[in-house]
Amino acid sequence: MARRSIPTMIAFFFGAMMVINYFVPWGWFSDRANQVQEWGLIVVAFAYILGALNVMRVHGHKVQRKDEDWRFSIVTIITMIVMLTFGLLPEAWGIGGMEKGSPFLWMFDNMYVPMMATMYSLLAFFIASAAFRAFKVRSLEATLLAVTAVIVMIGAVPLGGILLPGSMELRTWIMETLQNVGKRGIMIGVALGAISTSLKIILGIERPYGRD
Amino acid sequence: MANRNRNTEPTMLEKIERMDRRIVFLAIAITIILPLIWPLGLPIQVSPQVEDFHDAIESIPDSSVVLFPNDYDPASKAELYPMTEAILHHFFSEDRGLKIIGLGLFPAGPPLLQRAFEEVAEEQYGAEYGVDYVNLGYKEGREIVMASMGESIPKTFPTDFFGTPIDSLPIMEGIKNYRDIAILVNVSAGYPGTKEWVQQVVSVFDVLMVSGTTGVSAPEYYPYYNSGQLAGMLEGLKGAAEYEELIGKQGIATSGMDAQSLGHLVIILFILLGNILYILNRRNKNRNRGGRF
Repeated sequence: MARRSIPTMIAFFFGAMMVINYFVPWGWFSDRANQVQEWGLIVVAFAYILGALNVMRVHGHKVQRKDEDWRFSIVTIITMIVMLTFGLLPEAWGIGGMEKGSPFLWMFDNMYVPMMATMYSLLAFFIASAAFRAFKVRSLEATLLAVTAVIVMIGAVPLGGILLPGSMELRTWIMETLQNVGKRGIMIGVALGAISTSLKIILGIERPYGRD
Repeated sequence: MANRNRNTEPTMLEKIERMDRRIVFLAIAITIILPLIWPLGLPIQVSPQVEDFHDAIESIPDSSVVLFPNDYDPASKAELYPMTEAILHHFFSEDRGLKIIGLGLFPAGPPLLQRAFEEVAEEQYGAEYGVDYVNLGYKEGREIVMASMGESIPKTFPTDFFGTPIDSLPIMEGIKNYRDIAILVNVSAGYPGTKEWVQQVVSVFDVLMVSGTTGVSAPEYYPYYNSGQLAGMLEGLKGAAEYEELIGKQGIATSGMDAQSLGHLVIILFILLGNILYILNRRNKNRNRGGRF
């Protein structure tokens, strides 16, 4: 009984506190809510430590059992240890810190940045290939989608104004009117869903934080 | 048997329709690389939301404090880093004495911001760290960090990106919370970013805010721009290029727009080609079956 009611009471207390704080900007109450937010930041910081330990555990097991692609797990573990070490070493030691030219920033600039940028850039190629195959005028809806996509794409670049005068204005109208109507509907729906889910959690009807 | 094979063998048009995707990749690669080597210098037309972004920054008094969260990581660098640089040029070029407080809610964001500060603010305008600008670094906690800064910025970020206590930096003198901020200029690649800053800061503390986002996430923020919660908006590399045009400081975004222009054109040509082939193939199939197109 206590295993169920105590977490529910804690969730109710803190959840209700944050909701009330939004509507009642009262000094004492606001101070307590701010204190809770500070606790939240501390809890999140500990979650990061747990996350790092979990990555080590999962990949350590993978290497131990020699699961599929276990060699990549070795790379993950080594790079994590190296980056973590250089990130944590104090600047006074000469090889730590975040100053320009430090090993951590050198690895960040010359390894992490190009790799991440390359991964994301590949999207351009896959989008082109997917557009060639997917935007087919198979039905009225598909035709509307393809035509809209072409207008938005051509209107988004300077070349559009030269090749198809008025495409930029048409694109702006699509984005600010047609797109906005749909987006607002979705956003309001999502907000209502979030409110109802939050209320369920606060009132203990839904309990993602504990097992029965 | 021979007859059936002849019927099932794809025609030339069908073969083109099912072309190897590496041909598409090659076409895109060529059209992106060529204008980067030989720029076309296409004229750039400034959108109203970009003008609004510019006007919002112009509207704040001289020597104001600007909160400059750069919520992105290297994955979005190609689009958003030119934007960060263009905005920094605007902050520092007019010598208005603006105080810039940078931070990042993406773990890999603050080193990129620091690089932009050094390359633009320090090297080109002689701005001084801790006096004209500061990088508060990264703090995990997403919306909690945003809300917590409403109570106290120094409490939420006791040290900066380098681990220096922010109380020791002259720029932070007298800055407590959002009441001391004239404008929030966000560069955002997603969550946590523009949407959360609007929800946690603009709607609660009534702070003036503008945002620069990736092209793909911009549609998400149009409702906030239309409602006035965002005073201005930069949309992807296009927005950055228009901003460079507006401040008269052409950089990587402007040169990148030529590549993006041709890239979009090639994708559209592929869409048209795909549809022409689709219609012709469908017509041929119907004709072979004896039906009507």
